[in-house]
Amino acid sequence: MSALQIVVIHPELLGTYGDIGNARILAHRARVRGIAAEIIFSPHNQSLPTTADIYLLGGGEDRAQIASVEALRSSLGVLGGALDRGAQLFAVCAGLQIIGESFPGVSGEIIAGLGLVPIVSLPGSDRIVGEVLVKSDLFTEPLTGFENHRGRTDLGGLSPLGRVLVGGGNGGEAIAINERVDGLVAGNILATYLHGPALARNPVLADHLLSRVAGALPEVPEREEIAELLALERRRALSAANFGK
Amino acid sequence: MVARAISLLSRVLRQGEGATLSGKVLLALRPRAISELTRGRKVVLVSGTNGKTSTSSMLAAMLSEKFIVGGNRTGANLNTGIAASLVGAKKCTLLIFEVDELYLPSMMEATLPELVLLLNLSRDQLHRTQEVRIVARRWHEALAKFPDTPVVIDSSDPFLASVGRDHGPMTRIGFGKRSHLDAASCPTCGSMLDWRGAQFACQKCGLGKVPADVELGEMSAVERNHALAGYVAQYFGVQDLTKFSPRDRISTLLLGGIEIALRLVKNPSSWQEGLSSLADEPVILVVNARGVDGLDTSWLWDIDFTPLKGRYVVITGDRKLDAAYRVHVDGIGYSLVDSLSIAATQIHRDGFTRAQALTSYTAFIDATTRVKGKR
Repeated sequence: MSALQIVVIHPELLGTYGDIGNARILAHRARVRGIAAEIIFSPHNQSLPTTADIYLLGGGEDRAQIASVEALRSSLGVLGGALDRGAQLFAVCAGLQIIGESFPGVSGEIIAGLGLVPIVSLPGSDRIVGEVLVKSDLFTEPLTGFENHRGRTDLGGLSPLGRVLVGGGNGGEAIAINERVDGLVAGNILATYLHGPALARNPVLADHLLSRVAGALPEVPEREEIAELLALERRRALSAANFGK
Repeated sequence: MVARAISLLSRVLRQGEGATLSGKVLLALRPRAISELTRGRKVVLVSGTNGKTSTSSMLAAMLSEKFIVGGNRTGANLNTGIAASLVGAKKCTLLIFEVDELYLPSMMEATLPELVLLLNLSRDQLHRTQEVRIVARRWHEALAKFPDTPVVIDSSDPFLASVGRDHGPMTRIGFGKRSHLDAASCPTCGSMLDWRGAQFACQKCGLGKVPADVELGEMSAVERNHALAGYVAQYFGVQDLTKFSPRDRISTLLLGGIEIALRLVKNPSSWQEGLSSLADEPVILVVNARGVDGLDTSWLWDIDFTPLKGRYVVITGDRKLDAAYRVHVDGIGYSLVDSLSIAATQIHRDGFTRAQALTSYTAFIDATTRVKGKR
């Protein structure tokens, strides 16, 4: 098979939170298993590659987010077509908001999103900033990450990535902790508010995305245990801080 | 008097904290102390994401030719650190304050500076300053309240060009075209910046089209800051700068039988700068994520660590695993240890007498105050 293509959409706009790391992790975890992988940077002033396997949308500042969505409107057909043929989209934070129906602009005005999923983001009363622990049914252990966003996202009945055990997630503090959720899983779209970057902090999530395009994956070599050590340490640090374990 | 006694006491109690505790007490007793104690005196404010402490220190050395210079020289750059530095500074004829980015507007109001020097603006501690653009907007508003205050900027930084776009007494020093991680879009109007020419330019609002007053071409961060400090010194009448040279904020520490050159690195641009100027000696990375370091370590992935290839690398700090995984993905071998002392001991055991450390802010302060305490 030809090399796995990973597209970083608008890295110059949506790369404020080390988001490029998600692409690096995906390529790395593919390569250590003998799967050739290629990272393609797709800036806003060029059309989106049509044949890639995984598309990544990262986090960014308000204005950059708006500039990105404006540039993406003309590539909407490419993105929709890619998802239809089985490509995966992983969207983080601003990326999660962009793929929905609408999100808040610089002064709270409503900006039309790409409408790939029927979710709506609204401005929150304050910024949610801090470590997050999320239990997803997809994985045995909880995911961890760092969230930093003002927007709140209503999934409109779609499935979240998981339940929030610590932190704000999509809804923030306006929602009771036992009902808080983070992210979105819808068809070939997986989205979250988690930075860290999410795939560095959660190798299971990286592998899950890879397996969606490459099928069952062989084990990673032993030298990759640093990824598991980091994930374990972050889970423990969060659990210890919040549950006294 | 009370404040001085408290300063002494807090220094005895714990090294490092003394730089702000007396300021806290002073401000609690006299909320307008900074304003009162600086009134009628020459004040220079220095702010920016990187290089505040080293630049203020270079500038203080230059201006000491002509003035008795005071101010906060230890990196304590919030209102409390500035207040603390005013304790016992009665004889000083000129005060240089390095100011935290978010405190610049309030410190301008309090100190009515004679001149403001702005070094650079880039992503830093995103959980706190949130967005570089917000800081730039606040600075622009702050300058508007002081239309007659001279301001010196590095105009090759699009954010500073934006901050000073309509300020009258503005000295723009250009340093060639320099890429900027956060400036794909225009800091003023949000449309895409055009980076194709000799300088960035906004085709919509015209940002970047005002030529620099002086164009000095590309140089390292510390050389840029040295040059900017030189312009400020000349403003105050110090003309002969030949004996001053660029100085970084590097501290030397004797630990575990070796000498460690500690360099403060706190965000992607200062890390990249640090990685590009490594000597041929073992490298220790100390990564923390406490308060002022920034709680989110995502920025590690914005840095290109490949300059570490083939080097002897030891990683420590609270978030050593985040750093280790990052350099691992760049194909770099490393060893993990639990403290700077253990790193030093291991490097000594392996036959080296010197090492260099790139350290997060809190790790830098820990290490530099510890060595003072031992002596």
